[in-house]
Amino acid sequence: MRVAVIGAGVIGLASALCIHEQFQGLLPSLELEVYADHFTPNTTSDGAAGLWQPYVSDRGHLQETLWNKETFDYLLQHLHSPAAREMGLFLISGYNLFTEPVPDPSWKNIVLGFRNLTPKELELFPGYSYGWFNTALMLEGRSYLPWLTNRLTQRGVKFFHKKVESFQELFAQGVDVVLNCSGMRSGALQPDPELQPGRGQIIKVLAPWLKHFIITHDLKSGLYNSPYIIPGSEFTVLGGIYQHGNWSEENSAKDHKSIWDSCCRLLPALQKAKIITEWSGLRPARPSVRLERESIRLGNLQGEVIHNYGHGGFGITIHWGCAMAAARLFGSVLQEKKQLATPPGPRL
Amino acid sequence: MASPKVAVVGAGVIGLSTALCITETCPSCSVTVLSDQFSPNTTSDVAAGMLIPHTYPDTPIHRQKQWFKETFTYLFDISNSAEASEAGVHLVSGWQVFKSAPKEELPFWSDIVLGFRPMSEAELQKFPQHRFGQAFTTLKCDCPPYMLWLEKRLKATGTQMYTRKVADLWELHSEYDIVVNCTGMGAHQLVGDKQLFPVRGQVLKVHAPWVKQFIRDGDGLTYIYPGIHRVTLGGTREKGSWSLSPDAGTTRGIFERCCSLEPSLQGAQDIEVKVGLRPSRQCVRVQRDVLSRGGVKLPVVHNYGHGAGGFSVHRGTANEAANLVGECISALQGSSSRAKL
Repeated sequence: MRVAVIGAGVIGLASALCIHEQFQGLLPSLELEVYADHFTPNTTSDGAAGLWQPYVSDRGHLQETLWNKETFDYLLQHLHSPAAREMGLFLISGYNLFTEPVPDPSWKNIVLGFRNLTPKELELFPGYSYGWFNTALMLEGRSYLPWLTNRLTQRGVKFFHKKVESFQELFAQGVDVVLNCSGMRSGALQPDPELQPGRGQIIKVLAPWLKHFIITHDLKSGLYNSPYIIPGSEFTVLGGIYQHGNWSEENSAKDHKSIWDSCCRLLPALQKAKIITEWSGLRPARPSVRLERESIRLGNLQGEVIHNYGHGGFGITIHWGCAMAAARLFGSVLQEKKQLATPPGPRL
Repeated sequence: MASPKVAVVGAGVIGLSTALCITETCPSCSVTVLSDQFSPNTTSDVAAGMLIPHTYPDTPIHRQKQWFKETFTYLFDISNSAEASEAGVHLVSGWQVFKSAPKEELPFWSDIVLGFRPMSEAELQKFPQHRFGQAFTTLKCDCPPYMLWLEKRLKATGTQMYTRKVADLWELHSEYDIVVNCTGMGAHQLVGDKQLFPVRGQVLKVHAPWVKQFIRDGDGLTYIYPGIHRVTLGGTREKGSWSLSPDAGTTRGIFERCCSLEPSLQGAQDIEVKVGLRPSRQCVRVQRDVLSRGGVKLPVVHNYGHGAGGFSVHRGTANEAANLVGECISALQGSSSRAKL
């Protein structure tokens, strides 16, 4: 049973690990391979700050809320394990700021200590009249992806530095099941007009006195188009750009100015922070995550594809719930294969 | 008295902040800071600088609350300004956890810190040995940055600072009109205050930048306070111990206790061990005094004995001491005008 995972971001690696952990014991013939043209530290997941936080409104997708919860609970369990450091996992508290009252988010009971901000706290943020405080988790891609890679390598999973051009290409090599975790570039494997880039740009600075995340929301300018500040273990990420449909991965001077000015207005002390680097990335945005099976048949070639892409700006937040769901779909594929008689003739 | 000459003895957080308050309330004063130690070698430099008050048994609570409130407000404004990083003042959130129910459900300072509330069940699960907890956000003054920032502010007002060991406050009577005694533990010797006693504290300063939250055991003995570059792990409260030498067994004990609260600290690097003697007293001595020899008087204002709570009340007591200096100046001016008649 050959399984190929396309994509080595957080979704691809976590899906691979989930499947291997659950099925390798049951299926000794399982051969798992990861194919990607970008590996850590050059994936979209590496650019993300790594804060666990879903969007402030759940877009009506209960399933996504459940996957978010599953991810948070899974990470929380690992917080006290010796692996936490290596995974880049730690607790962090912070502020979500609004210019008007908003309903509580779907994740209020998932995070720790969720509450509204007091008037005194709001004094810290002129221009914002409402907000939340809660304790959440950071999972830094620069650490987590190498950790996942190590776990997979230890388990004998093979990695291939290769740009896969089609699902058929893999089926032709004898792969039985493909996990499509190709994020932004999934459209090249199978057209999907619903998948669009949500371009983001960030500035990484040194601001070690900052211990809280601060995320502002401007319901008029939309998601992520309002400044945010997220302190990591080494650097602090300044952001606030979301450009739907923009495929450019080049840093824009205009966006730099917008991020810098708005973040310094929010926290005047940032003016003294040293800029380390800048990065642009494409959030693989979709009205909902595509997590489903598809049987692909082209001539003599057939195979199963499990799609797991379109996680927008909440990939890290939702990754484990989706990986588990992908593993369940894989389980159903195995079940069906056992029940079906082996088709006659060669499998190409 | 055109330009009263004020000597502030002591350059810890109390001495420096008192000197600064005096320059603010009495701009015509000429202020000089004298100390045998300056940052980074003061007791204040050992402290984490967390704004979590210590309760003094013999100081009225309303006075302690006023001191804390003034200090918190002062630092809150700094933390919110462009100077925050230079001053080393930053907000930090976290938890105070208790193995058994705390004496008071609501400490006197609960409405001054930000967002004070009991910890949720989910949060307490992180601490299997503890049954109660409080969550809040407070401020931290990182040293040396905060001390250096105070020194910079003082220099800008024209205040001079000299390294000098003052053996007897009286030796200053010919050079200065008023002496302010902010000598902390030094007051034991300098003014013979036997009510002042050391409470030895050993701490570890470690590199663990992923620790963003403070954790404190309500017993005051074990704490984890994340600073700008280092996390302070504590500690000990050894009443009556004068030893400034680090103890290896104590270091291991502190590390183990902190790791049991925060297991990820096992990976902490660059452990630096420091010791300080908290200048402890049943009540903080903020008080006027007069030294008198052969008809010559030297007004003194005391501001010492802050024990474990120096940072928490420093600005409040500095304000009070500055006001007392103001009173001394009025008294001197009153008596000098009487002398002219």
